[in-house]
This record gives sequence, structure tokens and C-alpha cells, in this order.
Amino acid sequence: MKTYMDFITDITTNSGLLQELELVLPFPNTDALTVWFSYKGYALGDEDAAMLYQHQNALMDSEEPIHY
Amino acid sequence: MCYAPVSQPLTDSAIAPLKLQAYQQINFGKIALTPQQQESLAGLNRQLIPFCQSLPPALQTGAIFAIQQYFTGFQLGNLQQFFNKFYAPSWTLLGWMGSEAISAAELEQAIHLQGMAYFLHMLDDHLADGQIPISHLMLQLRTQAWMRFIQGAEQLVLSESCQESLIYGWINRYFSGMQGAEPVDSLAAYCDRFRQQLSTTLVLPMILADRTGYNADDVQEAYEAFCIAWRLLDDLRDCQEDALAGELSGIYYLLPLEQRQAWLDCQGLEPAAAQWQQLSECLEFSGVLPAAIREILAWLAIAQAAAERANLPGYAGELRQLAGPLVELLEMES
Repeated sequence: MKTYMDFITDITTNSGLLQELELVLPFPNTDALTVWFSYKGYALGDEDAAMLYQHQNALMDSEEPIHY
Repeated sequence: MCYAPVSQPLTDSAIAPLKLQAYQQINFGKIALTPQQQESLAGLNRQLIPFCQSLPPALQTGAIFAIQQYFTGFQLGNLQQFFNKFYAPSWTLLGWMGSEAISAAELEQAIHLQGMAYFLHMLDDHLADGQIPISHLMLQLRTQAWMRFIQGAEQLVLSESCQESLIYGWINRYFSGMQGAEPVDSLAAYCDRFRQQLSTTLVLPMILADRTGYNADDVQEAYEAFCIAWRLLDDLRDCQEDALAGELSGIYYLLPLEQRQAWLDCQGLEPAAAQWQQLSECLEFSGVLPAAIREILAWLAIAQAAAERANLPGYAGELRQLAGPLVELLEMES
């Protein structure tokens, strides 16, 4: 099973994966998020899933602020 | 290297000065990258994820999350375009210095290391000011970035005997600026301090100057003056945030002495506070805002002249493009 790091790597070359994610967002709960990633071959730890769920609205938000 | 005060002294503002908001939204002109520069930028952006993968497996996913949490936000595209947010002259200088004396692979490595220098600069700032909590993950991320930067720079220096002058001397200058031996009490001192603080990002330009024969003093002046202009622009855009946070930015040092207390009175307050309203009126009517623009343009002019002396006309052209919107704003003000 791959990790979130692998997911980040994969979307750089597989834009279809990103589009699939966009279609299923937002997830109703953390479990649904974990199941989707697992179905796609990526295992998320509980903390990672919770972090992603908390920020899921930002994943595709082009207005998401940066803090350099 | 000394501060060169070239802007006009503060004068009474025009009858109807532009609002502070117009200055907070001002930005450098956009530079149209050449296809080769676009490829370099793509390479810069591509290095971040492999860098995180070079950490122990237990830290890799956490590192990605940390970069998202503290820098890029969670928008996935931001993570893939990490270095797009930097003004291009921060790294294009290296490409303009390419010559037969350095291989394409070495030049690419130099540009990647410049990205690492900027990543370290940001990371150090936020770790030191407490915005990023210390953790084993962040310590290792910083250590790994530092090792990659130093080892890569050492590989690009031709002779071990030159490492002191081309790498470690600049690193010492960086830490001298961070530890702050000299008190800052003026814009001149503020800019001189910043020259020290940007020194790690000067390592690669200096190594390339040594390798390619470009005049090191002129390259240094072009790069440093650009960076000071960038810093002052950031200060202008962030003046509200800085005043409320109690940060003494370049805008504070541009205020007349008798008006600086208004800035200090804002520390810890909210934007709705009367003290901020008072300061913003002071900024709008004292002539400080156009003075800041003139200061930024003066530094860009210094950078451009140094780039031309260094026989880097392409870099000088980029610096000229940066100035465009600022010149237009000043024209509106007058």
C-alpha cells in the first residue's frame, strides 16, 4: 500500500487522479476519506486522515493563502 | 557594502493622496519567463517532494503535511508550484550567469540549491520566531535541508581552499545578521542588516561568479539591491500586519521620528482599533507611502545598474520589468 507521500508524487504525473478526487469532495467524514484513499491504493494513518479531512475544502481551493 | 540613500526626502503629501490600500496591493511587475527559465522553474518545483522523500520514511508524510500547514496551504497545486511564488530574479540570476565554464548539470544543481537556500531561510525564520513549533520532524527537516544545501554548494566550488570565502564566510555573515550585534535605528541600518540576513541565498551567485568570471562585486550588488527592494515591498504590503504585530519594518523607519510612536501604539491591537486608524491616516498623509515606493525603485535602479556593469543585460531587463507598476503608482500619486 502506498502513502500520502506517494499520492502527492503521483498527482504530479497523473492529473486524472486529482480530477477523481475533486469529483468526490467533500467527504462526509474521516472514514469516507480513508476509504477513498484506500480504494485508490493509499494507506492513511489516523492522524493523516484527520488532517486531510480538516483541510479538505482547501485541497482544490485556488484562493488558499500561502504563508512564505 | 554600505547603504545608499537615494530616495527623495519626505515632503508634504499631495492634496489627495492615494489610500493605504492602493499601496498594500502594489506588486512588482510580472516577468515573462523564457522557455528555458520555465524549465528551470519546473525543476525547482520538482525537487521539493524528492527532498521530503530523502527523509527517514517515518517522517516523509509528516514533512509534506508540515510544508502544507506552515507554507503552501493545503491546495495541492500550491505544493506542486512551491517556487512560483518567489520573484523570478531570486533564482534567474544563476541562469543568466551560465557559461561554458559550467556544465548544464551544474547550473541546474545551482538553481536547485538556490531553492533550498530560500526554503531554509523561510524555515529558519519561522522556527526561530515560534510560528512553527519545534519537533523532531522539523529539526530533521531543517537538518536535511541544511546538509543538502552545504554539500551541494561544496560540490560546485572548484577548490577546497575557496570554500571559506565562497560558502562559510557568507554563512557566518548570515548568522551575524540573525544574532544582531548592531542595533537597528534607521532605514540605513535596517537595510544593512537585511544584507547580512540574505547571505545564504548569496552563496550560489558567488560560487557561479567565481566559476564563470563575472565580477563578484557587481553580481553581489545587483542581487542584494534586488533583495532589499523585495524586502521593502513586502514591508509596504504587510505594513498593517507588521504594525499590529509590533514588527519594526522598513515602513516604521521611514516614518518621521515624531510619528513613530503611532506605530508602536498599535502593537497587539486589532485592525479596528483607533490607534491603527490613526496610524493609517498618518501613513497616508505624511508622504511615507510614496517615499517607500521611491526607495524601492531606487534599490531596483541600483540593482539594474550593477547588473549592467556585470554584463548581465538579461537580468537588468528583468529588474526593469519589476519596477513598472511602482512607477505607474507614483505617477498616479503625483
